[in-house]
Amino acid sequence: MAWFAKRLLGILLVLLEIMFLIFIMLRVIPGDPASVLLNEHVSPAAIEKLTVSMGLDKSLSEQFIDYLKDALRGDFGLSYYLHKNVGELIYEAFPYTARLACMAAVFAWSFGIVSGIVSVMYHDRILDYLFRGLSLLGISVPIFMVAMFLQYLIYYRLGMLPLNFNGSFVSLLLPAVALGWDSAGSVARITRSQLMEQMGEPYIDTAKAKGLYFSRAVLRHALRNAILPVITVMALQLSGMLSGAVITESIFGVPGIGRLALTAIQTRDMPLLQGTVLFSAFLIAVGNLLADLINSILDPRRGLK
Amino acid sequence: MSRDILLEIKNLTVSVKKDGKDFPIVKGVDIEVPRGKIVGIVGESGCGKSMTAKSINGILPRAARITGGSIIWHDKNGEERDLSSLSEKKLRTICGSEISMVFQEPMTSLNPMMRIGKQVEEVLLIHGLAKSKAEAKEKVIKMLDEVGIAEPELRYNSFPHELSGGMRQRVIIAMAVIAEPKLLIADEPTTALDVTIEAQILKLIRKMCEIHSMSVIIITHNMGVVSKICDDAYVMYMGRIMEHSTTERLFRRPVHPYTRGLLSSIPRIGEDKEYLETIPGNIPEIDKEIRGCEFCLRCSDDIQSCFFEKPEEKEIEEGHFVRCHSVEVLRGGSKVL
Repeated sequence: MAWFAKRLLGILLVLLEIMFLIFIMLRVIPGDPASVLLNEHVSPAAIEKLTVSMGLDKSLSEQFIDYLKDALRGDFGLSYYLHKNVGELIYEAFPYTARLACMAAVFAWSFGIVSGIVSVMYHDRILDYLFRGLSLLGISVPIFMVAMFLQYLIYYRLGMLPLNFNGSFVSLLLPAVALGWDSAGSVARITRSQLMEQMGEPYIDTAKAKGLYFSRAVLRHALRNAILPVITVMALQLSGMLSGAVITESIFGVPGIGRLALTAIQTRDMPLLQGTVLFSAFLIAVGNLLADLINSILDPRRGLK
Repeated sequence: MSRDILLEIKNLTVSVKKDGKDFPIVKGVDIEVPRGKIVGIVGESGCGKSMTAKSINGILPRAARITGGSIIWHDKNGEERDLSSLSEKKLRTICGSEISMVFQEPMTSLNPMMRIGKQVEEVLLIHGLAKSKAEAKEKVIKMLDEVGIAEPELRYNSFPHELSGGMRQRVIIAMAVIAEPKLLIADEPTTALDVTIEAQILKLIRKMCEIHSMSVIIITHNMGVVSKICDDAYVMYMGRIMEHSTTERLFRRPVHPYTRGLLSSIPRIGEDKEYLETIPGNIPEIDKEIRGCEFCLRCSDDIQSCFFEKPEEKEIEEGHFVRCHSVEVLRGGSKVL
């Protein structure tokens, strides 16, 4: 398990790096959090007082060391604006993001994989062109366009689903489709191209010579080999979606991680922004590790390396 | 019909699409495969020998298709079926059970993600040749043993990458033979292997052919392979059969300039020559139309009609056919051996 330990250490180093970078960046950009929180009519003395109480008068290195020390104890600071512990805020927001991400993933992957397979089975026929067109739309239309189009069509014209998130399962359907839209496109395209590549391999001729017909050869032989890179992409997509969908969550009013991050940016809420960025980085690093693990387990040619 | 024929390829034409036009790469090929015999098709790379083989069990690449002729399969009860016009589904029921194939590349012809035992077993399961999984597994292990794989129970669970090239080719042969087919097509079965393994694999194919009374079609570019195991030999050049006969006659008396060129290109031990003899030139591109004999551009015996007229096939002795304008000349002149 030396491999695993090495990877975990790698993740820790990456997180440390992220903490450092985001910390520096937030302090380089212009704008003083204390004066944003109060406003221009407040006396300089009051701003000064708040600055000291937030610890922003100390030197950068002192501030960073304080931040690290607290982080190690699991304390990511107090949100300036929401006056709550950052960890607690993320903990409250995460379930919404998680539900949204899982639904989006289920939609994206089932659509993507199925349409990839169908495209190959009906190569250069109408269904293939249809799914190829759809997946091209998937990767090229921006999320906010999809979201607004869905709201217009499904809510305004058809009146079938609620416009915004209201806590119910049904109200998450539109955001899930909007969020999963481009993932569905890329999964479909990768599945298709990987399968096409595998169908040209000699072992497919072997399978056909054995008496398997085309569709069975695709499902039984090619898919096993084609799915590995697709799994890697899917793991990255899921960790990306779990770490917050800023645009989708804002448009549909889902109180998840993405909205939290947006609020943090708008209010110069340094601890909250540091917290959400760190959380995203953590999820993505873990997603990477997971993708590698799954690949190693599924591919007999690759041991844990 | 004097001989007991299993498979008869009649006037087969295969074309590939290139820039929207069809170019024939197999041109009116006739091949007879007698029951229980080994037939060799020999020629340079790109002469259409693999395409001929692949059209039998319908695994031609996407761009190629059969544009003429027929492939007649003779059942043992005397029924005839044209494989070239069967539906994909019907053809697949014959493939694997009655016609099987061994491929050139043992490294890539097995599915890297499947255990080899399962891959061999698949043949039995597809064609319903085993009543239970346990019986299938037992048959597979017996077959692996028969093709000379040590510790077959252990190897059953191996993945292809854990085996050497020769072992993988044995697995592929096991897969091809396990359903006891009537015809085995071996497409360059030893090209990717080294010489000692080649001899073993050829011996194995011969042995399997005898034990299971199969017919075999061997596709090769190696005259040595033909002389070692084939009963009949077909020499192919640019999609046409140039000469065919029994192996014995063909080697005793090669007539077509191309056959003679192939034979004299084999290096012999003890021969004191500075250069190895070769056939000059290359195979022309497929989209180049040749009016006369396909071989005229590289032939040493060309006479005028070679450039303008396609030679007909002539029987120069019993069962020995040659497609060459200079046959008459050869017969009358002093050039015949």
